[in-house]
This record gives sequence, C-alpha cells and structure tokens, in this order.
Amino acid sequence: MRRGQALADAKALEPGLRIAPFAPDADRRLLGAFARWCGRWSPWTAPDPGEPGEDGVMVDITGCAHLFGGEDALITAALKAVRGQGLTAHGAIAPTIGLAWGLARFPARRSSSGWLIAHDVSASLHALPVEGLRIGDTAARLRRFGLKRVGDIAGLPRANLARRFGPDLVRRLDQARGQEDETLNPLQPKTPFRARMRFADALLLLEGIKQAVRETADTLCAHLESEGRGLRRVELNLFRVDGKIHLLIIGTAAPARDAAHIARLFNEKLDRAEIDIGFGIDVIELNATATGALSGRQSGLTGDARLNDSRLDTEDFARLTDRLSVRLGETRVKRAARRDSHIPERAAGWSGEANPPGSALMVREAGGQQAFLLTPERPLLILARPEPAEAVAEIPDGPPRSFVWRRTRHQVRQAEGPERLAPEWWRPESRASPKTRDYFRIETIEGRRFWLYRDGLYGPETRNPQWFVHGAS
Amino acid sequence: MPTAPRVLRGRPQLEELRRQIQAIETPTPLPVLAGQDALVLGAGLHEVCPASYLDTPAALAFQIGMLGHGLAEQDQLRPVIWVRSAGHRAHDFGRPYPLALARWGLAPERVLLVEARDASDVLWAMEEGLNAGALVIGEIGASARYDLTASRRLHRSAHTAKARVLVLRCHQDIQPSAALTRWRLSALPSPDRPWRGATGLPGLGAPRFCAVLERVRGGPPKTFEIEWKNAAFHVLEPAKMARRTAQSAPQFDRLAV
Repeated sequence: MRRGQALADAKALEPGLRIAPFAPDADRRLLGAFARWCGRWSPWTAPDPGEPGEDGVMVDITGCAHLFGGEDALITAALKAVRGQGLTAHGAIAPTIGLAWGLARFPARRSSSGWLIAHDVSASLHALPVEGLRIGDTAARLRRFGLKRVGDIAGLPRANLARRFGPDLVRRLDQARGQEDETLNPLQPKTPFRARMRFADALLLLEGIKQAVRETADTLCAHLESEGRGLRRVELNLFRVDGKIHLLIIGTAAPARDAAHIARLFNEKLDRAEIDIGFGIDVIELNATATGALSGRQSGLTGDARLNDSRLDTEDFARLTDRLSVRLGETRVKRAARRDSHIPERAAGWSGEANPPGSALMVREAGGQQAFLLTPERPLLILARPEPAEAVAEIPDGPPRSFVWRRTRHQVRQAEGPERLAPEWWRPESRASPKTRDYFRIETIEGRRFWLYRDGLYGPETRNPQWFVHGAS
Repeated sequence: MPTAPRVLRGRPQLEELRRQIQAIETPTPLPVLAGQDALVLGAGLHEVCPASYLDTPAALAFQIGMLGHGLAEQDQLRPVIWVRSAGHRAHDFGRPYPLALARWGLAPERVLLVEARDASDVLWAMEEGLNAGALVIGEIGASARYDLTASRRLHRSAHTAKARVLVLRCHQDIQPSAALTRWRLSALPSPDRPWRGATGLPGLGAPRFCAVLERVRGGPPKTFEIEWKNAAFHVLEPAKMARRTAQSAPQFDRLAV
C-alpha cells in the first residue's frame, strides 16, 4: 500500500481497511498542539509542514540539552514520551535544520532506537538519500540521473546543478550544510520573562496547583523586580501528564509585580475554569507575554496606612479592576473614553481597555471640574442607537411642541436649542448619510428631560425630516 | 462533674462580648436635614426607586448626585464602581454618558463601569467594590437575587468600609430589603429661565425632583422637593406664604378700623 493509491485498489488489497476522510485542518491543529506540548524540552518549537504529510515537529534545543543530561538522554526521553502517547516516532539531532529533517525521515540506516545524532555534518549528509534534502519532486529527477545520495551531488559544480534542477536544490543543500542561514519560526513568541516548575509527581489537586502557581509567580516576580518591569499580561500553561495543555490568560490594568495578587487572579480563573486535571499536571509555566515599566514604590512617609485609608490609591484601583475583569471578563469592565470628535456618540463612551483613549486628557481636565462644565450640556443617559420619534415642529428650525416616543405622548414645556452638529465630512463612512443634526434639550410638563434631534436641515438636506430621541435626563 | 459556665468565670469576656454586640448594633446616622441643603446619607445601603418607568433617568440622576453629596474632600476622591447587568430591560434608556457625569458631581475617570452577565455577578461586583473601599452604584432592576440576605450583606460591607452603596430598583419592585433608606423619585418641572426661544418656549432651569423618603430605619417617612444647583442638592423651602405664623399674619382688625 502506498501514498496516492486509489481507494478501490487499497480495499482490494486489504478488505478490513478503516477509512476516514482526509482532514488537513484537524491534522494541522493536532500538530500545532503537539508542537506546543514539545515545549517541555525547549521553548522554541514549531510544527514542520514536511513534504510527506504534515507530520513533524522541530525543536531548537540549543542550550537545553544539558538540562536533561545530554543530547542522548534528551532524545531518548523525548521519543519515549511521544511513543507513550501511542504515536510512531523517529527523531534526529543535527546542527542544521535541513540535516535533522533529512535524518529523521530518511536515515541511511535505521538505528534500533529510532533516533540519530549527527556529530559530523558532511559525513551524515553525504550518506543521506537525495529525498532527505526537502526538494520534493526534484529528488525523482535526480534519481533518473543516477544521483541517489547527497554525496553524489555534493561534488558537482553548483552552477550546473542550479541550471538543471533549479535554484531550490542548491539552496536546500547549502541549508543542510549550514552554509546558508535558516531559522526556526517558533510557535511561541519569545518571552523574556518566564518561570516554570516541574514536578516529579504529578499534581492531582487544585489546591496543589494553586500553591505551585503562587511559588512560580514568586520566581517570576523576583525576576521582574530585578529588571524593573511589571506584568501586563500573563499566560499560565498547565502541562498535563498525557500531553494536553491548559492555557489560562490574565491581563492587568496596570503593571503588577505582586506575586500574591497574580496568584489570586489565577485562583479565581482556576476556580471558574473547571479544568480537567486528568491524570495530573507535571509542568507549570508562567509566561509574561506583555510587561510594562514598574519602578519601586514608596509605601508612604509616615508608614501609617490609615492616613491613606479613605482614598484608594491607583494601585488598589488597578487591583480591583483586575479582580473584576478576571471574573467577569475583560470586556465587561469599562472606563470612560474620549475621542476627538464632536458627534456625541463618538465623542465619549466606555472602553474595556486599561488605558482608554483620552483618559489622560480627562485626568488633566479633572484637576478643575470647571473644565467639564465648559463642555456642552449633555444628557445623563444616552441611547446606543437614536430612536425615532413622531414629532412636528411649529417652525422649521424650532423644537417640537409634543412628540411620541415609545408609544407615549410627551408635552414639551421648556426647550433649548438648536445645537447644530454637522457630520464629519472627512470620514468616508459618514458620507453615506451626510445630514446635519439639530439637537434640542427639552423638558416635558412632568419635568422629564429628553435630548432630541432633527435629522437634516429643512430645504437643502431633506423635505420631511425625521426626529430622534438620543438621550434622557 | 459539671464545670462552671465560662462566661461567669471572668468579667473581661463578658465585657468583650458586650463590646462586640455594641459594635454590631451601632446606630446608623439618619439622613439628616439641616438648613437649606445637607441632605446627607450615612454609610451603608440606600435604595432609589423611580415613581414610574419614565422617571428612571431622574432616579439615576438623583443617585449620582447623592453618591458624593456631603462627603469629605478625601472621600470624594474614592473610585466609583457602577454596576449594571448587561441587557437588562431596566437599562433601555441607554448607557451613562461620560461627558455628562461631571455635571452631576462625578468625575468620569473615577468611574469603573461594570456590565455583568447576571444578577449574581452584579451583587458580587458590588460587594467586591465595597470591600475595596469604593463608592458603588448598582442597577439591580427587579431581580429575585436581591433579597433580604443579599441586601444585608451589601449593607454590612458598605458599613465596614464606611462607603455608600446606592441601588436603583425597578419601579414595580416591592421586595423588602435591609436598606437604610428607600427613596421614591419623580421629576418635577424645573423653573423657567427668563429668556424664551424662537417658539416662545422658555429655557430649562435647574433640575428639580420630588424625593419621597418612603422608608428610613428609625425615622418617619418624609417628602423633599429638591433642586440640583451649583453641584449640590438644595431642599426647596415651601413658599413664604405657607409658613406664616400667627404673629406675622397681617393685622386685619386694624385695617377694619
């Protein structure tokens, strides 16, 4: 049986064949997860879309092997763990990506252990079949010329090879030799701040995991402190014994470096995530994916906490924000945001970001609340989408005497306006309905306040303008 | 062989218990009325109900105004947690508009708007905010989760943190609660501005409310007519005519002569 064989032929050969549709996406997902799992040997791993099927994982073990007792011990342990998951695996360690790829797939001679280590690049490379060069169909053409091993083409003039078989062959050859640079594109972005803890016995209880997270956070925070950084976003990876990885992410409103606080946020997540521990967690890893500058803080001149008691300082405020957003979701905890616009719904709103646009502007203005009073009168509540109202004005540019909104008639007793807001002509999307709005603040005979606008000017823009209610009180 | 009860063995324990009980039973200050303004709420849970559906914005305005009203300078800088449950029908007047908050005495950068998924998350977020020492506005609506137990919890947290929590309830909601006060709010027509617009309609004066103190722990119900002016609530005095005493009344007998 071989690749590319017709299904009917294959079934004729083996009647008991199990058939499953080809699912490349699922394969790729599985390979990605597998590559992440391989992060236990080195942080630099990537799925390798190798030519015969997508079946490889590349691990850059530079500087990692000694942690596992040398390259022999590392690859033995790795292949044992992979085979323990019920997979067939071959491996190779080589100084270049190209050579390792070839040795793992097309070894000149299969060793009994299933792995090879290339100590001598040229000897290993020359013994390799030409298929091991990652050149696809070119390998078959080379074989037609009787060039079966890499050693056969290594001595040929490069210009001739490039002319006959394309520049790809020469490039691959150089990469395998290490004459051309090739880098691995790792699955995980490089994170300078990382702490991990490995356990001889897998953790089976949530309490144990929480304790381990706390201790890992201590390590991470100590590292951050020496660099003067604070956490903005942290990933917690829980490596399960059977190869699954649970990923939990938290973000903080301000750079934080308090291990107890970080651990508390993760405890909240762990309590609610209902993760399946399975047969246990054997590696815990904290990655600081985003950090911010955080210098040391003075706790106060007097050292008396009660003096600052009534007023929350910004750190406490940030912690409260973190706790709320971890439990409720980051998009549900919002701060006021201001944008540079005069269209009311665009000028101000609520944003889930930690430092929403315009927040600095607002803090500056808040120094004197007078600055806010200079902003035009706006209603306390604003509708997400202005709602149409039935209204007729006595004079074209005037306020309505009464209007119907949500099936209730309101009699207008007081009115102020119009406040004329022209559309933002410099925005492409506002060109679709370029209507000027005339806003009126009105109060009904009961004393209820509404914010109405007439969409479009009489005459130049519309004949029959529509009224909208945009806010209340 | 029976041993003597522990309480009798030493006075100090008894004193300690008395002290603890007294701490629990500390009388809470009533909302006091002194002079022209100073309608001040004590630390703890307060409820505001609109008199009708359309009075909901007015009730919210009252709530925001009262939140920091009469607080000491340093307490006014506390953060404010505004909790609402996302998509609740009580919110169909829209979201608070940051640019308008300052007019009601609330700096928008101090506000953290929390849009929780359900009622239990709303209560949790309110309590978390109180425990951190923030002032809290909660839009409860009509929720069965907000009962005597839940409101007592909120009140205890607020009382301990010396913070205020103001809860907006639905106008139809009549469930009992452990709040210190309950206010029933409706809008009142505001005074006319002296000038008139093109159609002859006068301008809008300072907003006025009718705040009925329906329920107050340890006090009688009372009705206030209040006005929001110069970033504070002022209690409107009834007109002078109605406050005449017998002495100040005109001497009709002399006129008759």
